[in-house]
Amino acid sequence: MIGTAAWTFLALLGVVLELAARRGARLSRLGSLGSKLAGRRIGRLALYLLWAFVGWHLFARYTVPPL
Amino acid sequence: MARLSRPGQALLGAALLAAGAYSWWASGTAPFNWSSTLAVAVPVILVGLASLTRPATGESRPQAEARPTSGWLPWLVLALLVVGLEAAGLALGGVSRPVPTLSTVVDQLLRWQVVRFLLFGSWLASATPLWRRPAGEAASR
Repeated sequence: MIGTAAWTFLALLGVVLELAARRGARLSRLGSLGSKLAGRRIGRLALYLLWAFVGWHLFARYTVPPL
Repeated sequence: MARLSRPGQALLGAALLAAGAYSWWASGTAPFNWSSTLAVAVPVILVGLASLTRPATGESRPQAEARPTSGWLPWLVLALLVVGLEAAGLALGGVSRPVPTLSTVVDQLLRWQVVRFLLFGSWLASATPLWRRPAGEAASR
């Protein structure tokens, strides 16, 4: 329960950071960070592997718990 | 952001429609099945090929460069918190009720196809930096 609340808090924190960046705060936008990382081969490879793992784990190998 | 020409807008619209249709199909496949594996494998292979053919620039878009390095710090802190919480969840077995892993929490939401559709579409969209050329690089060609 505490962990679920913590994950919800972190997700909301991410949304707040992105909104603040879009409103002109001295913050990088998440997309800008992704582009910056993807500008270098090693960063792009790391992003790609992470992205592929997330897709495989969440959409090909998920287990819906019983209600 | 540069304005797209009419053909560009039509192409973007068609791509979004195709991505939406694909996401809806993918979100209807059963897990641990060849169809769900295929649904993930196709974009993974396509993005991998597009990513391989994109040359490294070492630089990024001008708007990103204009930001100071301090603009990364809150994201770095958030990433460290995510890694820490995930590590704690994994150390407790992955399905611990007090500290579940991220995927255990997300699994609760995946019982509804509309949520799977939205998450799959977001997952596809999140690959954009991997294949898209930076704006400055495209203009310089």
